[in-house]
Amino acid sequence: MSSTLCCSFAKNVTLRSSDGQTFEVEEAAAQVSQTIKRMIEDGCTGSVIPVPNLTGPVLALVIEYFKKHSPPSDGCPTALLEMEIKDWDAKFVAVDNDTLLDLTLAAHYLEIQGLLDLTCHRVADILNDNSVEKIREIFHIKNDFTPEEEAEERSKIQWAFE
Amino acid sequence: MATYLPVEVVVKILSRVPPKSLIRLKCVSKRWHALIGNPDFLSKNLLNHSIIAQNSNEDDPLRLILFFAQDSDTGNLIHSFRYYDSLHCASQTPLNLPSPAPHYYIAASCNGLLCLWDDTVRSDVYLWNPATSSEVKALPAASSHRHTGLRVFPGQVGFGFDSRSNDFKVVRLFQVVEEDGTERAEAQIYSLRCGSWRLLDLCVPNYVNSRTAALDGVFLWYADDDDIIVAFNFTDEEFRTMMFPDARFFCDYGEYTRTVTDLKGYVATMVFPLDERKKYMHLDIWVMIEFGVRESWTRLLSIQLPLHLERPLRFWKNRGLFMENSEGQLVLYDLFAQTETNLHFEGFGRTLKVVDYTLG
Repeated sequence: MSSTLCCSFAKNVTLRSSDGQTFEVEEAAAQVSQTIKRMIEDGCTGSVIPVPNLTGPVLALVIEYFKKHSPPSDGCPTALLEMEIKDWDAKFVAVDNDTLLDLTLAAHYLEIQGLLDLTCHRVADILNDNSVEKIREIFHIKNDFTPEEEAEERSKIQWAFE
Repeated sequence: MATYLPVEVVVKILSRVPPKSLIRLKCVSKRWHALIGNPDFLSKNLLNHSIIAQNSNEDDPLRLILFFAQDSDTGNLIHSFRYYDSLHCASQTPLNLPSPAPHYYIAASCNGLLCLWDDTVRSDVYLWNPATSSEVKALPAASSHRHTGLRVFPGQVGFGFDSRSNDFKVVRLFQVVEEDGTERAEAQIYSLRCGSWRLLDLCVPNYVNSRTAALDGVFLWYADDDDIIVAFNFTDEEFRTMMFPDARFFCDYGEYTRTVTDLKGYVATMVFPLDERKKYMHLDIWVMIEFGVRESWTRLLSIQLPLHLERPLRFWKNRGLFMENSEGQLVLYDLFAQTETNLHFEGFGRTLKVVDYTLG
């Protein structure tokens, strides 16, 4: 209840996912997304803001991110708070690969620079750590090389596989 | 991902993958192959980014950059310490070299120590810790009696740190002439901890020149006769030679010259033509992504420079290249914006040297 009290002056906005779920979130927090920020500035606050590229579960996660990253009401973030957020971020993207890709896409559509950096970094780590075969599987990429073409490409860059 | 992530997101992701893995990802699919592999702007940028935009300690206040030159009037060595991040002048330690020499060389900077040497007959080697003193310390001379042969000439000097024995080491090459006139190279190594030189019982590659670079624990020389890189590892105390990328890749320049250098921890080479009748100077920058593997040489950039920028010296941050212009002045050239800034530091032509320096 205390959080409701202290935030009683904050304005809320409602976001609606592609599958019709609605979420209420503080306006200041939602403005972590540049896309939503522009929509609010264009006067969308009175009604529900549609987020057609995101399903409910992904939007729910993104809202978690908004809440953690909304600008602090009492001025500058402290070093301690920054460290805590960094830890939180690392845990936030330690999700299954499909969810990670959904979050990456969401960050792109909603122009959430911090989240996009975070997810791209995590995806890059996965690309760095896995074999070519495993990467195709994780990211649902069809191998369109013929076996001969692939063997030839591999032989040209054999050193990169060692 | 290839099917539903927009290309700009894929590019953003790939630009964060380390270069060796990035090259491997060419085999994932044809789309990725085209993205990473083709020598178009996007691909070059991708690889560039994965190499030159690596996180580094650029705003570290202990990280400095040091400009050296030989004064045109006095012949003395002049220098300027700058903060790496801003290039503003840092506090200046004077340098008192014991005697004037026709030429001083900076071998390398390593963990707060600088190694210099001169080309007098004795050819002394000096160590200097600018943080504590303006005096350089001359190392004891390496005795030429350790070498057999009719005549022995001291040659190039390399400097580095052996992290296994926690020791600074200087390696010195000697040219040994036999009675029958044949020549060979030999090497001695100086350990700062032992305070003495000893002969290295190794086959030493011949005819290296003063175009050098230093990486973590490894010193590199360019051997122009054979057009190879000679590398010395201070931990294993071994030499090895490495080939440049296949010359056919840039034979269309006509006659060219090159330097060996280092870029973000990678061995790199800058290739530029000698032909001065052209309107622009051409400069190619190659990086050896896997140390010692010739096939891993990858061309990062191919650019044109104004002709008065004669000599590329060293990379700075993620887009700068220090150059010496035809007046012997130090210029910072922005590789992407193609603009130049005069840094108001100059010396006798072809004596400028730029060295990274971190307080030890």
